[in-house]
This record gives sequence, C-alpha cells and structure tokens, in this order.
Amino acid sequence: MKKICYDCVIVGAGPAGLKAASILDKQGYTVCILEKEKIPGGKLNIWHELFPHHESAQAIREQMLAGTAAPIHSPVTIKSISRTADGYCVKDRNEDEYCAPALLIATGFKPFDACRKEEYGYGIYENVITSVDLEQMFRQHRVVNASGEVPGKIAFIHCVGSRDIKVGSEFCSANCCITGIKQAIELKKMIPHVNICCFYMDLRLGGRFFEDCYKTSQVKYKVQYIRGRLSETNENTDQSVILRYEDTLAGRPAKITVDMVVLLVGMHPDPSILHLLPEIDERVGSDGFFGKGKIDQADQSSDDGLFFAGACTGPKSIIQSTDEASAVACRISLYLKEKLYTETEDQHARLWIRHSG
Amino acid sequence: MPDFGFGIQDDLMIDHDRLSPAYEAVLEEVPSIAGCMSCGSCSATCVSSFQSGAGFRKLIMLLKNGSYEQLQQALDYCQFCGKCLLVCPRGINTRRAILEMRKQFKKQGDDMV
Amino acid sequence: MTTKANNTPFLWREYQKEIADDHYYYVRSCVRQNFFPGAEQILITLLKKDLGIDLCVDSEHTTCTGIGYHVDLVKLETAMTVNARQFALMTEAGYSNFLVSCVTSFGLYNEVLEIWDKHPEIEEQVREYLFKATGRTFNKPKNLVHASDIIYKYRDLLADKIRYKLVSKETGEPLRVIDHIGCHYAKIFPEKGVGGAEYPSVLSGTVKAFGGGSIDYPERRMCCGFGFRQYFLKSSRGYSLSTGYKKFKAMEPYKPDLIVANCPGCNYFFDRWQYVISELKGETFGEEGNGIPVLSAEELAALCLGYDPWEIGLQMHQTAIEPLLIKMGVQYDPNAKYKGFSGEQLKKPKIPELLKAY
Repeated sequence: MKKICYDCVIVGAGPAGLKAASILDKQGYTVCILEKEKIPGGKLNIWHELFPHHESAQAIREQMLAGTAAPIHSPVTIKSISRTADGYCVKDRNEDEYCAPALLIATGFKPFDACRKEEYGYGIYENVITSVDLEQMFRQHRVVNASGEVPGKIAFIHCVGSRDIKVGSEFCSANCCITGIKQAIELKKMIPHVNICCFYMDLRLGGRFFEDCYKTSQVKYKVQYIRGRLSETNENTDQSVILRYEDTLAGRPAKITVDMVVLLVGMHPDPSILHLLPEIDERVGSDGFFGKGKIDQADQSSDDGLFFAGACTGPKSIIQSTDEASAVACRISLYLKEKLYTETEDQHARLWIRHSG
Repeated sequence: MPDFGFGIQDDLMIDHDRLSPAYEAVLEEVPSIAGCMSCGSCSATCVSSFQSGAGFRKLIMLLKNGSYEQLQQALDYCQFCGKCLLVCPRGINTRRAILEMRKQFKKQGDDMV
Repeated sequence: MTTKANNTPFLWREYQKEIADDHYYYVRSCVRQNFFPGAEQILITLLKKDLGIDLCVDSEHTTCTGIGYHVDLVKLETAMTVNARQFALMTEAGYSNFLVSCVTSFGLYNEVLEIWDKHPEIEEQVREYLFKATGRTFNKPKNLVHASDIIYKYRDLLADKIRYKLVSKETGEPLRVIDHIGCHYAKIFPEKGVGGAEYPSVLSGTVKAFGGGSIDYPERRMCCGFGFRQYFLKSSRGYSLSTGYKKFKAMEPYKPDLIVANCPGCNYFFDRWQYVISELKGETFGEEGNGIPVLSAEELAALCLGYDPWEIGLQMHQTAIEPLLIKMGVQYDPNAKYKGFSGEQLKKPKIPELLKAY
C-alpha cells in the first residue's frame, strides 16, 4: 500500500495515453500511466494492419511505447477516484494510490457486442464473425471458416451497432467502413480468388487516402459493393450463410450465399470508468462518450484538472486519437504550468519557478 | 388438373449467387467499369435517359444483376453522344463499355470498335 | 437456440413471459373449430385430465373478429367491443386468465389491450359501447396466453407422461421437426412471445422436450403467406400461395418429418396447400410423395400422450398423417379413419393424382 505523487496521472495506455505521456514527459512533467490490461498498447494489441496505408500495428505500438519514459503500471484495476485539494487521487484494488493535480482519462472504446444484433446470427451461426475476430485471424496469418476451410465467398456487413436505434446507438462510428475496405484488401492479398461483397448503407470515407483505398479495392481487387442493409442471416445445411437484403439501387430484394460473414462492429463508449469519476454527468454526451463534440473542446475547460483524450471522447481512428492526445497534452501542460509554477522576471528573461511540495 | 383460378407467381428476388457472364466479359474489355460507385452523374447528363429511364448507371446495374432483357431494351436508346464519358468522376470509359455490352448481345457486328 | 460459446440458450432468457398456472377461460378459434375441430376438443381433455387445470369452456363466446378485422371488413371499434364482450364473459364466469386458441386472436387481444393501455379514453368509450349494446361490464384479463404457451409451460410434465416420443421407432433418431410460429404471436409484441420475435422457442422447446429435433432453415422466420386480405380474394390468392411455396422449397433440403404450427391459419395453409402445389407444379414434399404432415401444438401433445389419432381429429388433415404415425410407432386402426360416432362408414375423400393419401 503506497502513495505516489505525479504531475499527471493517465488512465489508459492506448495510443492516446501513450502520446500524451510522451509529450508531457518531454516537457519535464512527471507522468504515470495506469493500464487495466496485462500489457500496454490498447487496441494496438489486437489490430494487425492499420488503415489507410496498411502500417503494422505491432510496429506502431513499439514506436509509441519507445516514445515515452513514463512508468506504465499494468494490470491495474481502479477501485476509486477521489478529488482532493491538490487534484485527484486514484486508488487501485491493492490500495495503492496515485495522486496528481491533473488526471487524463484515455480509456478508449469498446467494440460493439455483436450478440446483441441477434438477427445477424453472431454467436449462433459459426460462420458469422466480427471484424475484431477477423483481425485476430490476420494476426495468426490464417483465415478459415468454421469447418477449417479457406472461404470462397465472404460478405462484409457495414453499420453493425452503429446508426441503429434498436441497439440504442444512433451515431456513426466513422471508422468501420474503412476498416471493412482495408480488411477486404488484406483478404484479397491473402486469398486471391476469394469473392468479397460489402453491404453498406452509405460509405463514410472521410479520412485522407480513404477514397483511394475504396477505388483500389474496386478496380484493382474487384471487391463488390452492394447498397442495402442486411436484415437477417440464416444457415444452410452445409453451414454456409444465406443473407437477406434489398439491392436498393435495383429496388428489388436479393439474396446471396456466402461461406463467411464479417460484421463491421461499431465503436461504443466504454462505461467501466463512468461510475468511478466524481460528478461526471454533465460531461458525458447523449451518445455516451465524454465531451459534447464542440469546437476546440471548449466544453472541456480545464479548471478542474480532469481531461479526456482519444476514443473515449468519440469514435476515432488512431491518427485522430494521437492528434487529439497531443492537443490535450498541451492543454494539460498549460494547466500544470499555471498550477505548479510562479512567473517571475529578471533583467534578462521571464522565469517560471516551480512551487515546492 | 382442376382449375384453381390462381397460380404460383415468379419470385422477384435477385439471386446474387448467379454469376453474370456478360458482366465478366465486358469487365475484361473495359476494366474501369469496376470503379463504378453508382453516383448517377451519367444518368443525369444522359441525352436518352429521359425516354429510356436508364442511364449508364442503370445499364451497369442491370448487367451485374443479370437482367439481360431489360438491359437489351435500354441499350437501344444510347445515342453514343459521349456525355456520360465526359462527366464520370471515376474515369470509366462508359462509351466503350456500352459498345461492348451491345457486342455481347449481338446488336453490332464484330468489326465495330 | 444455443450459442457456440457455452452451449447455453442465452438470447431468449430475457424474453420469458409470465404464464399463469391455472384457472383459464378458454376461447376457441374460427378456423381451427371449423377445419380441425378435434384439436380444440383434445386440448380441453388434455388440460383437464392430464394436467388437472380448471378450464372454463363457455358456449356464449363468439369470434374475436380477428379475421374480419384483418380483411378490412370489421372496423376497429367493432372488434374492440366484441373483444370487450369476451372479457366480460370471462369476468362473469369468475376468471381472470384468458386462454386463446388462435394466434391471430392472441395478436388482436394484445393489440386491443395495448391500445387501451396507451389510450385510456378509448377504453372508456369501449366500456360505454359494450354497456349500451349488451348491458355488460368487464375486467381486463390479468394474464393472456396462447394454447401453445400452456403446453410449453408444462412440457416437462407432459414429457414424463408421453407414450410416444418424437423419435423414429426404427432408427431411434429424433424426428426432424419444422416449427412454424404464427406471425401474430411474437412479431407484433416481441415481449408477449416466449423467446421474443427472432427465435421464439414456444414450439421448438416443446418439440425438444418430447425428444424431437428442431430444424433451422433459411425461411424459418418468414410468414406462411396466409395473409387474410390477400388470401380471401381469389385474384390475389396466388400471391399467398407463392409465399407458402417458397417456404416449402426452403424446407425441402432438410428432409423434415413433420411441421408443427401454433396458428390455425398456418396449420390450414401448410396442410391444404401441398395438394394445390402438387397439382399446379407437379411437386410434392416429404418422402415418396407423401407430403409433410402438419400438426398443431395441441395435436402434437395429444398424439405423443397416446390419444387415438382419430379422436384427435387427424382424419380431417388433407396431407397424409399415416406415414408419421408409422414412423413414431403409434397404434392406430386404419379402418376406423372414416367411421362416424355411431360406427357407420362415412364417405371417403377422392384420392389426388400426385399427392399420396390413405
């Protein structure tokens, strides 16, 4: 049972947490990161290649870990977070305390639990998997269906758990479309003769080079795109999956039989940190993520030393998470400067002297 | 057989398991048609779509879905003005594609390019 | 349905609905009473004798007008008032649990109760209508269930008593049973059906308890095509038939031995349409052109318990039931099939060209 004081405590060792740590400790602040999993890196531990340039998640993870010297405590299960006169105190299950004037929440997101979309058959039919499961197969360099065979025809279903009032999440997760395209290209590279069909409502490809990925997938890799939302899956006698949808551009209902269905699950808020934070309700948006989505995060004013960065403030790609983390790190830096330093002047320059204690 | 007064109707469901050989053949000759994103700019600018109801977007869709009869009817309307080619944002050689489609359905002699 | 993860049914655990134990007021179904009269009679016997349930069988009650309502012949106000009268009869007989034989009725009663719940002023108005027309008042039933729900609830109890399990006598393999749930059972109000809307287990649970095996086939959750308004007029009957035909085609590769349906309309459809399809398309389903026999939940339970098939009313089924009886090893007298109550031989139906009949 120990108590250690830092300038900033970061909850979450994902891309956002690591980026913020690297900026803050280069500026001379003392930082520590608390991570709930056994190893740091967040979702970088489960991705194989990252969009849009197919960069290796493993390599990025190592790069980010190397970028910060801050101590990472993992696994840590937080028991309570309390506000003190000087800032925040995070207590873990072993009664160890981590205290700091600034607290950064970078807990990230939770992939949508596809079992909740029961009509899609996840957890019921063996050949229905999610994009997260597929990424796991990529990491093991082995993509096979439930019978152990290489699939000949694969369907990608967009908007699973996003833009859907029936699961209580009407927001768009903004990154699943590009994930689907990226995974389709990876599959085509791995299994050249495979047929891939993507079922979408809209293709949301707002990031840089995303449209190029889309065009490449169509022209070079012959991935098919059919506009129409999947209504239900059913299984044939040989465990292949039959899909029911409308080809909305043709204006007629349609069906297709595939060997494997990949559900592109959305990015959902991770509620496990919510009940631990003091007086948090006004800072949570109607979609369950932190913040209100305003320009320059004006609503996340830093008078109280509580900051949020990364996917926990809304669905984001890794590029966006690290960018936001850099911005928030600067905001933390300014906050700490004000709180911990006194400004003074001598004949040559302006100086900032740190308070003691 | 007794006269029931009603019968079993055909299914309107498109079977996407069925391949479209004509699409594959046209794709061979004009690989850029794979880039069609069904934006509809071609149909909007098409001179004959006012009468036929079918611009190039629809032709590609009918070709992919194997609705060959409807496609053949629509193909007769094309005046080969080339406006769809000018406007396509994906750079598809639409005019060539239509010529190839017509060839597939023997609407033209093989010597036309 | 079980999950691959841990082999336990998890999805529909939350959808379990409340089914009262005893003291029911029973209302019959128009279609079932007319086309499969034995089914309702045997349910009454089954509930009273085998399960010891107090069941009120009242001849005063009428149709719920569901069929009239859905073909746009009966207005909603009329339907609500007639349903109110049914509840009034239930109240006067001293009961508060309502047992419905037909799935369409079930859907209509639930719809009406829901309307009254959301719009109390409409309920007030209906009370007024009923009082003016008949002088009756009513209480809303505390528990409204369908006949197949009761059988589902007591399936384990019945399973201990059954004489014939749903297994093939010859091979010992569980029979391949297709379960078909009427649309109005769980699709309108998913919480009113056992298992919810996507995977209702009211029939598959019973089948499993009796030793049979459920088949999951692509068209499982689709409507049989009965449709009411569509079926009523000959000009659109082809559309109804085509929908049913699609279901049969989807079932075929799974080689089912039996179809169980809880809605009398679906029962009627599946039973009668096989002959029409055999004449129109020259196709039969099931083994050797016998067709796939269709049973309702009551008939299934009674058959397994060992009641005489002709007492259950299975001679009224158009699609041959004998192959199933032989498969299950049920004792029956083929000569007694067309005998009346007094023992005289009644007229036999004509044998069709393609579909086998006995």
